[in-house]
Amino acid sequence: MLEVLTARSLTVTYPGRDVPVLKNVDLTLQAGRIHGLLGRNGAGKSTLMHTLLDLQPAISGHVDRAPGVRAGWCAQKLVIDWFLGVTDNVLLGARLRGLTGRKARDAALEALSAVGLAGKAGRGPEELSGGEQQRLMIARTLAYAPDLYVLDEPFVGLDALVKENLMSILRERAEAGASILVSSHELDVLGSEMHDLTLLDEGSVVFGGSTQGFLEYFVPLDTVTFVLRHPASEGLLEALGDIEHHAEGDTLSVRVESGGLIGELVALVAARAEVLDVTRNKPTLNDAIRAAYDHPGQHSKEARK
Amino acid sequence: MSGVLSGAALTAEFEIKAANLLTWRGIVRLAAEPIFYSAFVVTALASRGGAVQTDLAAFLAVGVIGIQCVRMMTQVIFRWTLERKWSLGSLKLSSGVPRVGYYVGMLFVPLVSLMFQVLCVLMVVFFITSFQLELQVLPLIAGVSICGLFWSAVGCLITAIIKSYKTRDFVVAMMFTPLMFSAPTLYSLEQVPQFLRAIAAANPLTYQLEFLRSVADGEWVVSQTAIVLAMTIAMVLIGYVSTGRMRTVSNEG
Repeated sequence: MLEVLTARSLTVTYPGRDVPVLKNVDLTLQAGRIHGLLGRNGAGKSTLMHTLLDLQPAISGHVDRAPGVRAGWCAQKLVIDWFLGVTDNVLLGARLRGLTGRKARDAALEALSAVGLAGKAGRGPEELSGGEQQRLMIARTLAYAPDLYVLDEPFVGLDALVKENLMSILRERAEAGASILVSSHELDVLGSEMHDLTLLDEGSVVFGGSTQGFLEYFVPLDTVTFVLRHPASEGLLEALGDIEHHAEGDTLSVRVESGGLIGELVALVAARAEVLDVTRNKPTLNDAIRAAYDHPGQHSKEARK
Repeated sequence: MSGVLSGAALTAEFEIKAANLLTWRGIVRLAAEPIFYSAFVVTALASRGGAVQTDLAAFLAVGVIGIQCVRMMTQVIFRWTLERKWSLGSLKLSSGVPRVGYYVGMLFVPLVSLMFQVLCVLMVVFFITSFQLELQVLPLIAGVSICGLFWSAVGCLITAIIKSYKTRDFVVAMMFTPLMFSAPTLYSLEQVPQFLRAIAAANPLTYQLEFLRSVADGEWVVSQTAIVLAMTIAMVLIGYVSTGRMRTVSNEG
């Protein structure tokens, strides 16, 4: 997989502050992959993005971008030229891409359509709502069509349909070979689309690697929940032996290896109790993030694989 | 080199749009101030016994052009402040526009606006002197472009130094009027008290006005030209260094 950008040991400190905002951060972005940048507010996500784009100097470490890679930035705060109309703001993206004349205009209008702003092309940015202004910035980035998308909280203020539409555009661009770095708290939109992720906490990388690897390392067990006719008997609980379980009223929850077969377990329980229902819950990214925060020192090179 | 030129052209293209220079409203706005200054101030101050004195009108016309140069600097500060505040400079520079191209593009548009304003001043002054005015127009425009570049670069430098955007208006207000009127824009230094001459000596506009008046008379005085050129080259280089700040954003998250 082609490496588009690598950052090694980035440390960033803001003037007048003792504590670094970023501490020895490593990051690798690859072509054709969506990379989530996760972390609590103030974790250093925007600062990391700015540093990758050379918009914020690092006091140590280095960022290497593959030759010829164009990076496109969609900021968390509004970056809009209020003296230009909606179309011209997006046209700037197309012109930065090197398009001219009719081609540039078509690219701008196509990007506006993609974010649902085609009907507002003739307006000024001040006439748009907050969510529409966010879409305007996204449209400019889409019109620029970079090799590396650096999107800082792009889903904020967007309605569900627009979020889905944007995610599908990003998926298409990644499939076409672009590298996409997205910071977001909206894991319901981003969660299933991320190939890789970096989790930051207080400026340090808690985890960096594949999303699957993250889940398997921090939440390696699924939960199988049995709803029983009667509370679980002593015999049933003894039969479970060392298997991690929790019984409460008519419900019995058992932790099993993620992705492992549960036929034997179901047979074991069914032989000792009347089973009304069985559900299997896979852990979510939020579960994994919580686990990662709870055990900040647990990550290792092995988890990054 | 082609990247620098295309970056400059792209920056200038959007600056022209942002300044509304391609609409009649934008052109009228640009023309209004130099026309009013020339029509009222030059006419009034150049009149003796009900008639406009041609030599006095020429002297004052160059003074008004000097005022427009300083005025342009305030526009540059305003626009560059927006570029920093809204991270537009960061966006363009991080999207591949070379810093030199960005700087040239940003300086180009105010300079073109200034040239247009100079033409407005000259047209009005030609008119009020019944086309008797004798000025070397092309050399004057060449001279103004050198002086204009200086003030554009000063504006860029000031924007880089201003840390809080709230202080921008204060700084502009404190600079604009003293710069305009402590130099011999609308009066001759020979007529003023010593203290005012001393203040004028510290104002770069004083040297530029002397230079422009010589050039308008068809004389290129080497010492004046050298001083003005040196000031401009130095300020353009300092201004370029200050554009390093245009790239940096400082928000956290």
